[in-house]
Amino acid sequence: MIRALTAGAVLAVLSMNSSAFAAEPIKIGGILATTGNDVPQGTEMTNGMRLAIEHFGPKVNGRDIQLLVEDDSSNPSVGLQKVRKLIQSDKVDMIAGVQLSAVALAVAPVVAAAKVPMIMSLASANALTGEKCSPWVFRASYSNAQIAEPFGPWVAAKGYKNVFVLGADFVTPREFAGDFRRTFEKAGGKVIAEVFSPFGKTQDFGPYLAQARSANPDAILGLYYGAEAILFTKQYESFGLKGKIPLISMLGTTPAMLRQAQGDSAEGVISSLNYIPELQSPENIAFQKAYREKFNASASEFAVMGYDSMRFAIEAAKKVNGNVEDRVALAKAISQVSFTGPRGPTRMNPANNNVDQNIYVAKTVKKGDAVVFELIDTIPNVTTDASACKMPPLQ
Amino acid sequence: MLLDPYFFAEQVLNSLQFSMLLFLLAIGLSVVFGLMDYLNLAHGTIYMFAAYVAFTITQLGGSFWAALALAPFVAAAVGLLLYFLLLKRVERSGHLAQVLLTVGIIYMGTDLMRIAYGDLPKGVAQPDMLNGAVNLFGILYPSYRLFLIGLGLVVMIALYFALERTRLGALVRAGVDDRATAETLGIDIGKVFALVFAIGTYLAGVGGVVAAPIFGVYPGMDVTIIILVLIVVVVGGLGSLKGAILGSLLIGFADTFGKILLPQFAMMMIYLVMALVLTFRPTGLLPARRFSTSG
Amino acid sequence: MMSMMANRTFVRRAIGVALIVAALLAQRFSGFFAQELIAEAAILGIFTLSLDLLATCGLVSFGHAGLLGVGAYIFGGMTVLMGLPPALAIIAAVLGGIVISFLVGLLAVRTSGAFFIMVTLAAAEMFYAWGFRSKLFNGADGMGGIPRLDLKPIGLDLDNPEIFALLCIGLCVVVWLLLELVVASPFGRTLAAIRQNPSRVAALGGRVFAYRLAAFTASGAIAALAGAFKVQHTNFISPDLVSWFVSGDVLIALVIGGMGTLVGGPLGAAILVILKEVLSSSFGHWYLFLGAIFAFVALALPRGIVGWLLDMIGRLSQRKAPAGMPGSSAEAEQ
Repeated sequence: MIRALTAGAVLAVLSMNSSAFAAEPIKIGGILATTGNDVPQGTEMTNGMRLAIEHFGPKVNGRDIQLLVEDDSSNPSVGLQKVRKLIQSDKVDMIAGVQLSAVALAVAPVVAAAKVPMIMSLASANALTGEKCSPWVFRASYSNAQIAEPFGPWVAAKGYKNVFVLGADFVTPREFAGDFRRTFEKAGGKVIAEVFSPFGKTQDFGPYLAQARSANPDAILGLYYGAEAILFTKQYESFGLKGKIPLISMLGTTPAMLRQAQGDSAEGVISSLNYIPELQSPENIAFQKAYREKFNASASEFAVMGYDSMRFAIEAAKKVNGNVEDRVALAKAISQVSFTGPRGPTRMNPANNNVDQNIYVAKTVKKGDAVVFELIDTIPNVTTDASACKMPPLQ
Repeated sequence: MLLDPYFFAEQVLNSLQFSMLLFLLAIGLSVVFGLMDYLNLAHGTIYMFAAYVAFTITQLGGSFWAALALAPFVAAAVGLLLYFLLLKRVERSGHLAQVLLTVGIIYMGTDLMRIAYGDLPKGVAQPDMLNGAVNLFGILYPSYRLFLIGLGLVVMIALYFALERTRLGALVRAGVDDRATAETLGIDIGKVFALVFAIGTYLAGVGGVVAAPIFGVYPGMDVTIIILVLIVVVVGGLGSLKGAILGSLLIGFADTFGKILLPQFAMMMIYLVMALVLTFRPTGLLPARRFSTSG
Repeated sequence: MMSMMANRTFVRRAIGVALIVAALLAQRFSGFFAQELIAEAAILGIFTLSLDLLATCGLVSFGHAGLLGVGAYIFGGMTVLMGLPPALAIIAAVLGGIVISFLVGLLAVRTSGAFFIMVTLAAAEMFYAWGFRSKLFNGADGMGGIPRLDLKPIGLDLDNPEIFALLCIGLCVVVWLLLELVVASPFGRTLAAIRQNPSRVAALGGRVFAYRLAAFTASGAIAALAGAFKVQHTNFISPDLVSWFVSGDVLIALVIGGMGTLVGGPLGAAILVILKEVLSSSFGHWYLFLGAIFAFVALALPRGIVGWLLDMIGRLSQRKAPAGMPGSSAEAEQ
C-alpha cells in the first residue's frame, strides 16, 4: 500500500509532448508548505517553479523536468522525513524549495551526505552559506546579512540616529536585527533596544508598541511575518504611531501578499528587499505578465525566488547536457550559473553558494486605492562575505 | 519604566482590553463546561467563523456595525446546528470523546475557511467613528480599544442581571449546582443547556467580530485563542460568571505585564499563574460548585 | 465475571500479537520510506503506552509532550552538546523523566479530570516556552545532528532505516509486555480501583495520592524513553516536539485505538501515522479529511477501536452466558 501512496504523492508531473520513448525524467523534489501558516508563500513558490519549467525547459536534452512537491508543514522533523522520502524512494536528482531556515538547517547534512544538490528558494539563515556552508547546498533567495547590512548605512545616512527594534523571535528577525545593528552603529547610528516577542504567539502588540514609543526613537525597525505582520502594522496605526515615528523594515513585513489585510496601515514603511513587483526592467515586466497570464495573480518576491531557484536547477542541468547523474559535475554547474532575471543580475557565488543580487530600498505609498512599493534606491550587485564559509571540497 | 504612571496606566488599559476579549469567549465555555461537564474545544472555531462572516459582510459593503449586529447570530445558528448534529451525541461519552470530536471540528473548520477564503490573513476595517485615539488624562489610547473595554463591561453587567435576576438564570444556576436535583425538580436541563449554548456561541461570535479589526482574520486564529480561554476558564473555576470575570482579568493582566516584565518568557507567565492557582485551589478560584477533587 | 475479565485480557493480547505480526510483515516487505513511518509509529506507540499507563488510574494528561521533551532534550544535550555516548544518554533521559515527572506529579496529581488536563498542559507549555528561548538548544529553530545509538559492535547499524525500524518495533513490544505485567499486578489492580472509585479506595485506606504519583512517574519514564528515540529517529530536536499539538496527537492516537486497553495505543498510533501520510500525499486540504475521521471515530467508536471490539465480544459472550452481570463488561472510563 505504501508504495502506491508514494506514487500518489507526485503532485505535478509535467509531461509536455512526451513520447512513449522519452528518457528518464530529471526529478526535482520541492519541499514546500501546502499546510500551515506558510502556505501563501509556498503556493507562490510552486507557481514560480512551474513557470520556470515552462520558460527554461520543459526538457533538457530530451529529458522532462519533473517537480515532485512534498509538504514539510513548516516543521523540521517533517521536512527531514520528506527529504529522506524524496531521496530514498523518489530518487530525485535535486531538491528545491525549503522555506524555513530551521528546516534547511535540519536537512542540509542529509542532502550533503546523499550528494543531492539542494537549491533553497527562501531559507535565509546566514549559517547556511556561512559557517555551515556545503558544496551541495545552494541559495537562490538571499542571506539575512545580504538584506540587512546594506540597510544600516542607508538608514544612518537618512538621518535616523536612534532606532528601536521590535521583532518576532526567530532566526530571520534576530539576524536581520544583528546584521543591521553592526553596520548601522558603524555608520554612527544607535540601536536603543531590541525587543523580541515569541514568534507566532503574540496577538496584542500594544505593550511592545507602548514600550517603543516611550523610548522616543527616530525610527522603529519592525520585523514581523505573516499574520503577525498584519497585527503589527494595524496596531502601529491604531496606537497613533503611524506618521509620528517612521516605521522601517526589511523584506516580509509589508509584502505585496498582505496588502488587503494590512490596508492603509502598510503605507509609509521603508524597507530593504531583494525584489519588488514594481521593478521596471524588461525582464521583470515580462515575468509579471507571464505569471499573471498563467495564474491570474500578481507575483511577489516568493514567486520570483521559486522561479529563480528552478532556473538555477535547469540551467545547471543544461550545462551538464542533462547528465544529472554525475552529481559532482551537476553541483559544480549550479555554482557557475548566472543570468539577468526579474530581480536584475542574478549570479551564484561559488565561494559560499549564495546568490549575488541587487538590494532595493523601497517605500510603500498609496496609489489610488492600493498601497504599492515605490523604489527609492538600488544597491547593485550585493555579494556576501564568504569568510565564514570554509567550503569543503566537492567530491 | 513601570514607574512612569502614564506607561503603567496604558498597560492597564491594554490588559483590560485583552481581558474583555477573553471574557467574551470564556463565559460561554465556562458555563457549558460547568453545566454539562462538556469540554468543547470547538468554541474557538465559532469565534473564527464569526470573524470570517464579519469579513464577508464588510466586503459586501456592509459596515462594521452591520457585521457586529449580524455575524454573532450567524455564529450562534451554526453553533446550535453543530450542537444538535454532532456535539450532543457525545454528551455522555466523557471528555476524551469530546476532545476528539471537537479537535476534528477544529481541523475541518480551519480547512473549510482556507478553502473558502484562501490562506492569506484578511482584514476588517475599524468603524470610522472609532478610528484614531482618545486623549485620556494625558494617555493617547486607541478609541476602538476603549470601545472594546466598554463592550466587555456592558456584557458582564447584562450577564450578571440575566443570571442573578431572571428565571433562566436561576435555572442555569440550579443546573450547574446540582444537575440531578434540578432534573428531579422537573427542569428540562437539555433545553436550558441548548439555550445557554446558543448564548455562549453568540458571545464567542461577538468576540470574533470585535477581535477582527485588531487581530485580523486568518485560519488558525481559533487555536491561538482557545488555549488561553481554557486557561481562563480553569483558573476562574467552572460554571461561574464571577470566576470567568476574575480569570479573564488575571490572565489578561498576566499576559500584558508578562510581555513587559519578562519579554523573554512572556508565554510562561500565563502558565505560571495557572499552575500556581491550581496548586492552591485545585478547582479554580471561584467555581460554581465544589467539585470533588478526588474523582 | 472473572472469566469475562480473562476473556477480555485474552482478546487484547491477541490483538497485540496480530499488530506485532502486521508490523513485522510491513517492515519486511515494504520500501525504504515505509521504514521511516514504521519507526515513527512504533515510537508514537511507546508514547501512547505511557499515556495509557497513567489512564489506568483515571488521569488524562494533555501535557505529555513535556515528558517526551524531557527525554528528547536530555538525550540531545548529552550527545550533541556534551559528546557523551548515546547509550548513556538514553539511561539519563529515562532517569530525567522519572525525576521531572515525580516533581511535576507532586503538584499535578492533587487535581483530577479537566483540572489535571490543564495542569499538565501548563507544565508542558512552560517547558515549551523555555525550549523556545533556550540559547543552548538553538531556541525555536532547533538543533540538528543528533546521533543514534551505536550498536555496531554487535553488528547492528541503526543508521540503516530497516534496522532502526526493527529496533523501534522491538522496544515498543518490550514496553507493551512490561505494562501488561504491571496492569495485572496488585499495583495495577489498585490503579484500576482508583480509576473506578477513588473515594472508596481512600476509605479503605489506600493511598490514592501515592499510587497516582507512582503511575505518573512511571508514565514519565516511558514518555522520556520515547522522547530519546524520537530524536534519534529524526536526528533533530526543537520545541515543536513539546508543543500541545504533540500532546494532542498522542491523546488522539490513544483515543482512536482505545484508552485503557494498552494495545489500543500502538494500534491508534499506527493508524494515525498512516492516515496522515495517506491524506497529506493525496489531498491538498487534508486536515479536512483528518478532522472528519476524528469526528467519525468520536461519534461511532467513543471507546476506541479496541474498546469497541472488546464491548462487542463482551456482548456476544454475555448472550452465551446469560448469568453474566449486565454492564460488567464496561471496564469503563469515567
